[in-house]
Amino acid sequence: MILLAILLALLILIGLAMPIAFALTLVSIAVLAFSGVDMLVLVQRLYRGTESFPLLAVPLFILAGQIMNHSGISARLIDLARALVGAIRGGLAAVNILTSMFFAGMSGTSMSDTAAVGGVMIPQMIKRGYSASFTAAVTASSSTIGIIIPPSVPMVLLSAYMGLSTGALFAAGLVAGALTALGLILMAWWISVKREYPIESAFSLSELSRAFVGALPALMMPIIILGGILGGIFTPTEASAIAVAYGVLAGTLFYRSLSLRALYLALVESAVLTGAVMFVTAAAHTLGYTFTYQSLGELILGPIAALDMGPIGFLLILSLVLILAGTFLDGIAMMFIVVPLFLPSVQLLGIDPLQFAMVVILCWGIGQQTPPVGAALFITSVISKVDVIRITYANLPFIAVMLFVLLAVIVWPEGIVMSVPRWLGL
Amino acid sequence: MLDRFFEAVAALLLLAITLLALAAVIARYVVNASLSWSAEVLVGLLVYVTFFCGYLALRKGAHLRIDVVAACLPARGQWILFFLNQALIGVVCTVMVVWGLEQTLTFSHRTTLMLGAPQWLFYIAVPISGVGMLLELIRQCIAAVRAKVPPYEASRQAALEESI
Repeated sequence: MILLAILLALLILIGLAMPIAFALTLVSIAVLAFSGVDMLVLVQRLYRGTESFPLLAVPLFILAGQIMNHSGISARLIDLARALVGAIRGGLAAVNILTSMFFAGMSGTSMSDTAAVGGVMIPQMIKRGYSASFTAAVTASSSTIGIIIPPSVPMVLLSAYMGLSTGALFAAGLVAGALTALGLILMAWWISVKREYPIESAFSLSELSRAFVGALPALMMPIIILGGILGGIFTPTEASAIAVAYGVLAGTLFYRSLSLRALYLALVESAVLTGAVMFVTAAAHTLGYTFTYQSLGELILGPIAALDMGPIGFLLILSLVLILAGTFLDGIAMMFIVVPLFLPSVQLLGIDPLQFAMVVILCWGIGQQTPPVGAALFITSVISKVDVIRITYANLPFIAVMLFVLLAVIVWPEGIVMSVPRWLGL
Repeated sequence: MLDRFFEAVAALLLLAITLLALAAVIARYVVNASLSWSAEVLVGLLVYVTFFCGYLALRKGAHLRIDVVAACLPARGQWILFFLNQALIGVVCTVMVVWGLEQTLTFSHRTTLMLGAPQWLFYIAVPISGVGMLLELIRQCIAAVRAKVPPYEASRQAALEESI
């Protein structure tokens, strides 16, 4: 009963435009005050939610992404993707997806990816005869790769919350991210063949080497970040600081496009975004405490234990709940409300926390694609001037690809989630 | 003017985190010395970034929120919802101020492990942020009434334009 009341209160408050961080804290205040808990405990939880060393990677990965955005590297990455896959049917759609994948290796969020890649690719694709809704759908769905392929701010938040190794979760995202990109490219190609979308210029090795050299300074960034973390040389927090330094170096020395003014703007934008993200994280700790205090995780645990459904059945139900919640909630709120409720059952069923975390991340990505609340949808809708419903309809085949990857993560964790972390000894 | 000042403070805090984190990496890998105190300072700076930039995000309307439903309400409904939300956010801020101060005073004698710095220096970020947010909520109410524009529609437009 209390669980239902809490969830209903959260849904109403968040649905009626209350900022998510304040909604989470307000509900915690109400429940804890009703239970006679001293508010000092709540404030301590709010404070402790931010007092974490691994979370330092959040502002730094956000800043690294903003710096790359301001460096105007999108054009170079698009050139490289065009040289690689432009020759296939529907080449620009594949270019859009591949550029998102390159961008994902540098940026920790999918929003900067959607805006940077979409701003350039959407007008180009529409001009070449692609339908506007298909173009917007490709852009929205491919931006999800941004949070699946490391570095990923949602992964940093989730691993800090669950007490997991961020490096291991980053490694776990590599296969799923590559599989998503490959699936999206195949789906875009299949649709392009049916609709006879154009082919770009024929494949040329000299063009590819020229584009590769141009994009090399940008491509070095994911190699340094991922190589450093996965090779056990840097911690994710150290890697995030190096990513910022390298971003500044690439923007000023190699591309000569990053001015002091742009750097200052990147710092301010990142600081404000960090304030918003970290404040939700702090607030989530008060809600997590409230759930624990009221033993609400046990409420979910009881029926799950009674149903004796096994890990696959449990993860399928979890996915359904996360996707439904992600339809109405922002990813960060979805994660912090649903995860603490299901976490006790994960331990009971012997599910690897990395597999659980990957399911959450993929559902977060799917949630970004579905109205009424889908961040990626709204940005692409504004750029392409196509309404959200038409984009969603065009996006259905791509959402199906993501659901397929999610299913693969649930059914075959050994191959998709655990293989890279085990191989690297993480 | 005030906005620019706050933005500069936020940028400086983030710059400090970046430079110190980098210095720690350089010290560890290049000079082979560990800046053992850096972790404490970095976490303290993160606390300040969270609570100061949390305030700045409120000032700039950048806190994550979903105003699809609110923007569809008639103007009157938007106004009622806006004031109600401001009041409820005010409750959270009041808790931050009152019990944040209690936390600061209760543990005022504690010091950090490595540096021996007083803990209250970090704890006080919570009540300061709460006071700033309370003042900001009042400023937003006055600004919205003066502008005479239904607040959610205006903020949604601004957010969309900014995201492109």
